[in-house]
Amino acid sequence: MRTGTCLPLTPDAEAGVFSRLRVAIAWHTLRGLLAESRLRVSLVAVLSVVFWAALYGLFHEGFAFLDSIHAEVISLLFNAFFSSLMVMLVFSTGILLYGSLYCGPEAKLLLTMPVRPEAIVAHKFREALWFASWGFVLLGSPMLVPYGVVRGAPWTFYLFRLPFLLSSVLIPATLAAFRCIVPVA
Amino acid sequence: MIEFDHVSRTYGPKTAVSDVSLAIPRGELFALLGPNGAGKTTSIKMLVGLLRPSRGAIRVCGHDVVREPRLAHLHVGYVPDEPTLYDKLTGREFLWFIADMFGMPRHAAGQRIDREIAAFELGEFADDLAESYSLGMKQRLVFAASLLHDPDVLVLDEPMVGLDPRSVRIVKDLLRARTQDGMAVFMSTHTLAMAEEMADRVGIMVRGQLRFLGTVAELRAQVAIDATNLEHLYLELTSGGAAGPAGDGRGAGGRGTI
Repeated sequence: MRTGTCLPLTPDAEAGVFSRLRVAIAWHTLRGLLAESRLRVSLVAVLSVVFWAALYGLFHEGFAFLDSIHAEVISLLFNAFFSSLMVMLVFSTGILLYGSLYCGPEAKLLLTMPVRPEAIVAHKFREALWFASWGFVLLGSPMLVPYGVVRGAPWTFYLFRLPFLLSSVLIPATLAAFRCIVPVA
Repeated sequence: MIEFDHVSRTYGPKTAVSDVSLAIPRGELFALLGPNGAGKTTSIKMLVGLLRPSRGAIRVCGHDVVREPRLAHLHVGYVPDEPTLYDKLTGREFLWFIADMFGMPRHAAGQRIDREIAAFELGEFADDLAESYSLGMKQRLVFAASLLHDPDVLVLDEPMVGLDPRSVRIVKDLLRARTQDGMAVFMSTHTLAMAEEMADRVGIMVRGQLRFLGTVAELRAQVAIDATNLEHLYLELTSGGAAGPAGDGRGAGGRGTI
């Protein structure tokens, strides 16, 4: 056979190819933004910092006020806030994943290649997860950090916020992926 | 190399492809013709694994495209009607990505990438981002990508759309060379002159059925009209007049008829 030098990829090799693809695309996107849209990038960065700082200040004052009245209110506030964000994440990840799996041209390209469909789904899932969740971190961190400051939490509290936020993202994103894939499968 | 074995595809109550059987051997260039909505693109999508047949089976180099899709895909190069690229990759990076996806060894991949860049005259823009490419440049890059792994089977869906005359010539020359080297080509086209010039056999699809399968000469012999070119023959067949389905015994395509 003419294609005798080609072999189906192992799962690890597939993941490696997709990782390199994402890195290359991210690199070119970042380079293009810095070269051609410096004002836009600067504005987004500055406004994000201002937004984060404003939220931090707001939550700091809020927690200080609530802590002096009734500490249990904070627990309710956290539950309501993260529940709302999780519902939003289920929808946003689901919409992104559905669009890229079933309506996007990339999936059609990849499905004609000798890779496992599972690898394609995992690739698109990671992509949707990234796009849907950066806002979660942007909104979640200015709430958790001032809480730690107000309650005088130890440094381990801040250290474990990152895996906490990541797991809070993964659970709704996985639910969204099930919602997208199971009915079609 | 390519076998359609009583293949049908339905979308709800609508039958897009109905009981098509055909075989395309090594080294043959087969052109599939037909009006819009005849089932050409559905047939191609089933062949490259984008759709599953509702009935029947499709095999590429002996591998069933539904049961052994990865093995079948290793032997197939595909050029869709609309080129799909990553805008944020350069042409060369895209070719490397395709080489990686087909599990090509690095050294061989580098050589073949250089070979295809030279063959399709991509050198001037191979290191630019694909977002800056014209449609013709994208199409040439997709052609290069489809041939990178030296496929046994090349599937082309309206391959000449967007190509300038020089690129068309390059593609025609490459198709001739590759088919002489043993590659089978399955091509859907509206360009009748292209089919007449290039194809060893043509198939004409109408409303999901293969109405004719054979050489252009056999088509001329079959359609009893005073027609000298493929356009007249094609219009005669697709207007529902002269010929019945190839399977009613009037097709002249031998083993490929239905």
